[in-house]
Amino acid sequence: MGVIFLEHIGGSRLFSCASCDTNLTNRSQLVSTRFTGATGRAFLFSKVVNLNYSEVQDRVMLTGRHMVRDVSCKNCDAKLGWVYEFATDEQQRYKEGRVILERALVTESDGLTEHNVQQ
Amino acid sequence: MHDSVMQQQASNGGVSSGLQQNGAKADSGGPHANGNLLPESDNDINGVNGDINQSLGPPKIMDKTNQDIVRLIGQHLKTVGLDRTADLLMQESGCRLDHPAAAKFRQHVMDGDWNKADHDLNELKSFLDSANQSLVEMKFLLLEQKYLEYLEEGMVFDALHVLRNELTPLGHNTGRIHQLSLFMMCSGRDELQTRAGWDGKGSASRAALMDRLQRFLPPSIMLPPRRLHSLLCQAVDMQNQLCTYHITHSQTNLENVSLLVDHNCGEEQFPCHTIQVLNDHCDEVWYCKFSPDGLKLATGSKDMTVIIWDVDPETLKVTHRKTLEGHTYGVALIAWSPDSNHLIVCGPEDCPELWLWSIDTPDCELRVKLTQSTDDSLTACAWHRDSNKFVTGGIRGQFYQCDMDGNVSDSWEGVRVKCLWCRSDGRTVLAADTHHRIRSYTFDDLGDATILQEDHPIMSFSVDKSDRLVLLNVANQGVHLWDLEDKCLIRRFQGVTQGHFTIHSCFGGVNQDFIASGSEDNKVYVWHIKRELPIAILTGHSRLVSCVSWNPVYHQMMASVSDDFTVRIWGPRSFSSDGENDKTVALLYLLSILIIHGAHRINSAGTILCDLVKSLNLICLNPDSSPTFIPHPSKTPSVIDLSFSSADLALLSHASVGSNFHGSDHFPIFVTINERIKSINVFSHRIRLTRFQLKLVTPLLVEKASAIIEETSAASLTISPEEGYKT
Repeated sequence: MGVIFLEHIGGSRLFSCASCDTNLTNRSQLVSTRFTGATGRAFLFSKVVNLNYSEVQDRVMLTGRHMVRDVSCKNCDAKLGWVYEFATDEQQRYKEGRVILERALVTESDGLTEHNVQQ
Repeated sequence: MHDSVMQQQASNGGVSSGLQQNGAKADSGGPHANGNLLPESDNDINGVNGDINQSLGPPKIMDKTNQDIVRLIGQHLKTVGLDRTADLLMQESGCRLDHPAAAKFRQHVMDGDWNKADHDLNELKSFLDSANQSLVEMKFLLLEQKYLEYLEEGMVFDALHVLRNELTPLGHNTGRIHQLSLFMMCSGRDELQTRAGWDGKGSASRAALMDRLQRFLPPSIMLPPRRLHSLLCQAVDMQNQLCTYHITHSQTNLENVSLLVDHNCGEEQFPCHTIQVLNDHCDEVWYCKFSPDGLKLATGSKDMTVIIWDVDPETLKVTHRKTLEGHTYGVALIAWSPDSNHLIVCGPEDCPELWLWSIDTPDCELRVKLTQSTDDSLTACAWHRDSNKFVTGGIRGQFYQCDMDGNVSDSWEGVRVKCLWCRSDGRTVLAADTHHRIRSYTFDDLGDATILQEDHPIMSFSVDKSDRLVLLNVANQGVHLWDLEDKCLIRRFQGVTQGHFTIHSCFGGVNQDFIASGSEDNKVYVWHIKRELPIAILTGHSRLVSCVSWNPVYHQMMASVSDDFTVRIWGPRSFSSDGENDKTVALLYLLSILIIHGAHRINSAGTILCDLVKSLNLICLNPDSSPTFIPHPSKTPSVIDLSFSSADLALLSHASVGSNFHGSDHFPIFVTINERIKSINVFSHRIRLTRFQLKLVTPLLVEKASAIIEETSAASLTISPEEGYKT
């Protein structure tokens, strides 16, 4: 398997995989908290790192038909949510390329104060 | 030597042509030719030689190029002392080395006859490009020598006279005149020579002076010194630059290269042939690194161990020295101290500890185990040049500077470190961070600056010996070469696959001209630093290659480690034994097929097989690591296709089951040695033996096989089949 290469998105408020604590994203990437997944509440993020992506699936959701990929943790392979590949409804296009993480599957923690970083 | 050479030269210029004329015509031709040789056509510099040829008429009409070549040869003959031949050459060709006026000038300079030399200068004046300026500079150089020679002789008044009445009136380079006047204060000969950087009175300093003076003269008047030699040096340099696999000689020059053929290092000498496959690790191997002295190799594995190997510089092979155990998180990084005496071992991301081993003792003791906090992640490490402190860090935000006892002496906050390097100034630390940058940090004055920024995450980097070029493995992008001083991207090396796993690359070769990297496609890629496309792609590993290390001293040696649990040592073809092994295994393979097909048909032939296996010291090769069935001698044999090799070769061999029937009723086994697949299509020539036939053929095969085994592994047959099988 080699040594899995993991990124770290940085930032002051971090979201990590609940099962292995691998960094996934941070508060500044959060777009919306008003989503619902299989386990309940879910968040939409614009950028998430350290993910594995499944094959594209066609899924009909409350807001219409979407093509999505399930995403899991690159380090421990735990299921985390999904990413929107294509939204058939023009109104939903803003979700494309963005990632849903289920609240129950991630943990939130404090990050570091990093210097010399242009956010 | 120059003196005598040039004296002859000067006279030959006239006489030789005369002789030629004499040979061709009557004796009255001599003076005529000599007359022509005198610099009458001064204003036509390039035409001087041409005039001579024309005046000589039919014997040898040469174009400009051929004249130049003849002059070069003549000059070279003189330098190696073949004066008579050179003179003859000049006679026959009608060329001459130097213009007579220039030859006379050189002679006077070499004799230290400054007044005559000065007079000659006026004669040469018309040949000079920018006559007045050049003349002044040449005079200045002459007088400088004259002055220094007087000084050295202790003739202070004469020296002073030169300085005041000859040098100063030239009005040239006043600064130098002041400097020269200071040399008057020198107490003795030695002090004068060191302060002036001057060789002292004699032919050496005069020859050096002549080289400087010569630059003002056009080459048609006087050849630059050792001109042929410098042309050949240029050719060798160029050939070096064009040589793709130039790996060992740091300086190829006229002395160590043949001029008769173009220099070209063959691919045979390049480390792209497997010398060894090491199976000692029992899990994925993640990292390898040669020690800076080139005599040791350290490999780290997921199996929680580091193995220290001794390098044999003669055979370029390694032998197991010591296994360092206890790295419960697995070993993801190893850093040698610059003096090769210590080793730091780091783990993967969840590893909060770092181990410092002493390698200078035979037993390799653990010196210190550093754990600051169990939440830490220490994945990166680098030694300072003085080998007594190091830096470590990780992406959870630790960045420490530590001493040899594992005490954290400094720490830097707010940096998520991916990879580290200590620069040669002894204080600057380079760190790749999670924002795709490499930044520099100095702990003593808390200075930091961004050196470079990539668009994608940096997985690892390494810096070359000159501390100027940095090689980055960039996730999903390839291997990038940057210049640390100019802060610019120099080259993107193509071919490698990476991004999911951390891959390490390295510099190699005596001039650090080569780059090697592992790849996710199971291959090792090697590039020349000047080319984007790989010059070699090494196959052999059967899974991801995480890391490659090039031996920093024995440049023909390289190591790679892989998820296939093996370490491969690469070297020149002559050091690898694949040719022999192929032959042996092919024969052993045929042997086993014969036996097995015999056994298949005859009851209890399994016993014979087992005896044979044992007596030949053979090992059954596992197809694709699946368990191998070796029948017990006392039980009824039930043998299917098996492949055997000698115990020594088993470590190099790999058996796999083919996917094609090849015309038989079952799948064939392919035996590969160093990944060279020998697809012996045995089934189309199936040999069936009766028990009687087998009895006849067996001793024959045993004899042949043992002879070959003896030949190929004469050194040692130390591994018993059982032990070999276990490994």
